[in-house]
Amino acid sequence: MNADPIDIVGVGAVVATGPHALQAVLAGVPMRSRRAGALSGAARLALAAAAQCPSVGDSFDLCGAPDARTGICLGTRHGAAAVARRSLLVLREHGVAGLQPSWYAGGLANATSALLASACAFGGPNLSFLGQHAGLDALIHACRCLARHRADHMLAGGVDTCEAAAPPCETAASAAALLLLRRMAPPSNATDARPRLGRVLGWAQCRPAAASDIPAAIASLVRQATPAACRPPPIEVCALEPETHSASALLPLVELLRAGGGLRAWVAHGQQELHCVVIDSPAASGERE
Amino acid sequence: MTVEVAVTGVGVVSPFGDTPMALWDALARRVDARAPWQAAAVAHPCAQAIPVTASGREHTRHRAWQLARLALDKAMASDRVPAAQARIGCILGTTTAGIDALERDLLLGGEAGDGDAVGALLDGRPWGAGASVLSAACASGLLAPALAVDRLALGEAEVMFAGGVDVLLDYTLSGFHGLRLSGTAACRPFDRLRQSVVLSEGAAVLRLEPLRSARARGAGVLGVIKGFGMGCDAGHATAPDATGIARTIRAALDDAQMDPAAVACVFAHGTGTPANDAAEAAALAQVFGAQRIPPVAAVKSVLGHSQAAAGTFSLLSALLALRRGVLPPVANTSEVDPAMGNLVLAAPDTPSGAVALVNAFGFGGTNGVMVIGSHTEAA
Repeated sequence: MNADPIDIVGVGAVVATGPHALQAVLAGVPMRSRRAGALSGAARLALAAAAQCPSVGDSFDLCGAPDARTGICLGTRHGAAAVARRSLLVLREHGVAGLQPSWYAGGLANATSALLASACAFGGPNLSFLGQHAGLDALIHACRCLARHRADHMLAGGVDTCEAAAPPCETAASAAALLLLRRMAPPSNATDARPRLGRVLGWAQCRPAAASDIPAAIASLVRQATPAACRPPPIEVCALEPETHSASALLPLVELLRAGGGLRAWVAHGQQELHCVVIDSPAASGERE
Repeated sequence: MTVEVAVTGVGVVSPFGDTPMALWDALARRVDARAPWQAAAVAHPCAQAIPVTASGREHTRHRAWQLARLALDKAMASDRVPAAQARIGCILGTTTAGIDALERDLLLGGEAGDGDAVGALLDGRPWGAGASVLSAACASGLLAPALAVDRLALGEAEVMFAGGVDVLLDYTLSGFHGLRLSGTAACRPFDRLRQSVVLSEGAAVLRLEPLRSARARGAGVLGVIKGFGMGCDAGHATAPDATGIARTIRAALDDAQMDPAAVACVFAHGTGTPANDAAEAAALAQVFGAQRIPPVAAVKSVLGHSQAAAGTFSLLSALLALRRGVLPPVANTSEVDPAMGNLVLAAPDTPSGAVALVNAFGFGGTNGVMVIGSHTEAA
C-alpha cells in the first residue's frame, strides 16, 4: 500500500442499552441545528460521540461557509430503518397522503452522516457504508480519503440505534464510536495544534471464499496492512456476533487508544468480511504529543 | 490524481436492455418508456420499470441485489482476461437496498426482519481486496467508482468492480411524490416548463484497473477516469446548493489537473426538477463562467432517475459519447429556461470532444463529480 500514516487526534464513544438509556444519553444533546433542522436520534448519538473529540463540538451550528477540507465517513448496519419502517406502515394504513415529506430523505441510510455534516458544517466527503462491519470499513475509507488528499480531517466510525434495529438485532445497544483523523502531510498538520493520540499506520480488507479460510486471511491481511519498516504488531481480533452493529468493532478500539495501548493490528470479522487497521498509540504516561 | 484508471468492462441491467448498446440506442432515439407501475401498496401513475421477463428480474425480497449480481456477472464476463482473484475488490452504491426487503415484509406480509442487505449481495463471492456497500443517496453510483479509483491508486487492488443499483419501491415513489418531485410529465431537464423527475431502476457495474496495466495486457479500454471530486453542501437535506456543487466541480478539475477550458461537455445530474436544475446551472456558471459552459447532456431525460444507478449510467453514457464522438441529445426539452443563462444543451450532432465532466448529486447534500477522457486522448 502506498500511503503515509494518518494521525488520530480525537476519539469519542457513546453506548446506551435500550430505549430508556438512549434517552438518558441524549438528554444534553441538541435536538435541532440551525443548519440541519431537526436531528434524528442517530444523528444526536453521533453528535454526542463527536463532541468528545477536541474542537468538534465547537463547530456545531457555526455560521459561515462549510469547511470543505473536513469530511465524514460513517458506517451503519441499520441505517435510518426506523424512519423507513414508520413511512411504510403509514403508507399501508393511510396511503400516500399520510406521509410527511421529510421522511423519505430522513429514512435513507446516509441521513445520519448528512445531518452531522450540516450540524457541524463539514463540507468535505460525506460517505456512509452499510453492514455489520461498516464501522471499520468507514474508518478505512476515511484513511483512504486522507491518503489521497481528498480532505485534511475526517470524522469516521460507526453509529447505530436500537430503534432502527429489527430481528435478530432488536436487543442490540445503541452506540456510536468515532475517531477524528488528520492527514499528516502539510498544511493540515501545520495549522492543527490538537495533540495526537496515535497513528493509523496501514489498513487492508478482504473477503475470503469460505469461513475456513479466515485464519490464513487474517495473517495475510495483517502483513498487507503493516508497513515494511514496522515490527510485526500484536494482533487483536474482534469477532462480530450476529447481534452486533457497526460500532461494535470500534468501541474497544476507542478504549485502546484512550489507554495508549501501543502497536496493534486491529482485525474485525463479521460474516466473512475482514478488516484490519494497524495503529500505534503511545502509552498514556509516555510520549503522547 | 497521479494514476489514470481505465474502464475495461461494463455490466448493465436497465429498462432499455442489458447492453451498453441498448442504452445508447435508447438515448439516441429519445425513447419514452414511461408507464404506470403497480407497486406493493400503491398504483403509481408514472415510472420506468425493468420488464419482468427473465430469471433474476422477478420481484423478490432482495431484488436490488439480484439485479446487482446480474450486472456484476456481466461486468466480470465482459473482459477476455480474467484478473487474479486475490487482488479484486468491489464497491457498490445504493440508496434504498435493504428497504426493498423491509417493504415487501411490511406491505405484502411476512415477518419484518433485518434486511441484511450486504450479506445478500456478497455471499458466495470471494473478494481478495474486500467489498464495500456505499450509501451516498443518488450520488452513490458515481462515488462508488470514484472510491474504487482511489483504492487502485493506493495499490490496494489490481482490479475493482464498482457501480450502483436501486429498484423502484413504494417507499421511493411515494417519497418523491411527497416532496413534489415526481409526477406524470416527461423529464425535461433545464426546460422552462420542467416539472419533475421520472423514477426508474437498474444496475450498472464497471470494471476498473490502472490504465498502465490495462494497456500492458492489451485490454479493450472504453475510456479513462482522470480525476474526481466529492463534497457535501452541509445544508438542507433535499435542496441542492450551487456553491457546494461548484466547490466539488473545482475539486474534480484540480484532481485531474485540468483547466475548465479543456472540458468539452458536461453530463449533468439533470433531474428535470426546478430546484436541482437551477442549482446545477448556477454551479456550472460559477466554474466555467456564464458564457463558457460546455454543451450539456442530461441522460435522465430518457433513462429516468434510477437513483444510485443513475451516476453509473451517466458515467457510462459519457464514456460511450467520447468513444463515438457525439453527445446524446436531451429529450423533451424544447426551450431552455432563460434563468439558466447561456446553457447550451446537446443535440444529436453535438461533438463530444475528448474530456467530459460527469455530475451526480444526492439527498443529504452529497456531491460527486468525475472528469473522464477518451482512450484516444489518453494514449
